[in-house]
Amino acid sequence: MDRESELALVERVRAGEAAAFDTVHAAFNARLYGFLARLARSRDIAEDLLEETWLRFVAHAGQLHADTRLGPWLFTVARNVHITWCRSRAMESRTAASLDLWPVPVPSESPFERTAGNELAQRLERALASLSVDAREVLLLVGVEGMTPSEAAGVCGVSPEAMRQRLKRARVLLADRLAESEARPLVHLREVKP
Amino acid sequence: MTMVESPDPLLAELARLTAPEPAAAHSARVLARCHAVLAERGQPRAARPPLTRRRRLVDGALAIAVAVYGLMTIAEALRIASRLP
Repeated sequence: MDRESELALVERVRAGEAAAFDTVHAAFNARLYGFLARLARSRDIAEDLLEETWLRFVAHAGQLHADTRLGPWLFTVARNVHITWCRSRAMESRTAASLDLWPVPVPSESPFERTAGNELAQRLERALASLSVDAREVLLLVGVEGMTPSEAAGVCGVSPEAMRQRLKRARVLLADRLAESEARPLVHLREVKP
Repeated sequence: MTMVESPDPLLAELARLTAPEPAAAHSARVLARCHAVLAERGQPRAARPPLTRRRRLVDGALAIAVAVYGLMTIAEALRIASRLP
């Protein structure tokens, strides 16, 4: 989507045009879902967060600036929705742990590991899922979404220089995890008696 | 959104990862909810019902009473002020 089309679309969204909203939804729904699913490491949670993201978009559509860039705006909202969810989950975990009623959930493996098409993609998904949220979101925004570090900095609310540093560290961590996974075979062959 | 001009092979591999898709039923449900919100936002606010004759009379009487009370208060204040040494 070129900038002129985007500006025209923003104007229509501001006016509350449903067709314009559908266009934005079609352009960003899968991308936002991928971002949220990899951040939350769960498809079900990602669907809930995605719904919240779109509802916030609709609620604030009339207040968008005429020069709003839809991509960074939507990813910022999605990231904030995820942060809010993380905070509420942390509170629930702490409460549950202090009450000793429920076990604190242990992060499970990413659902994408199982669906990744090839071995490298599978390793990459696993390595990505093993990183901290901070490192993951940087790699998702710049690596997967193709944002510039400056755009990603805007989404995460940090300076471009800080984002470049975060990207550098996250990239090193990802490479390390990937190298570790290469040492461990993904498929374990077991002997079968004839 | 502009692409990062970086030859970094690791970031390039990330860009090639298969994007997961949300369930079609979920997307349809979210779209419907958003359309409902948009439709609600687009509706003009209910117009104020026109005042009835009786209501206008009551409003007028109240306005006259307030005005009379105000005038009497001012007159009383002036009277007391004139008596002060």
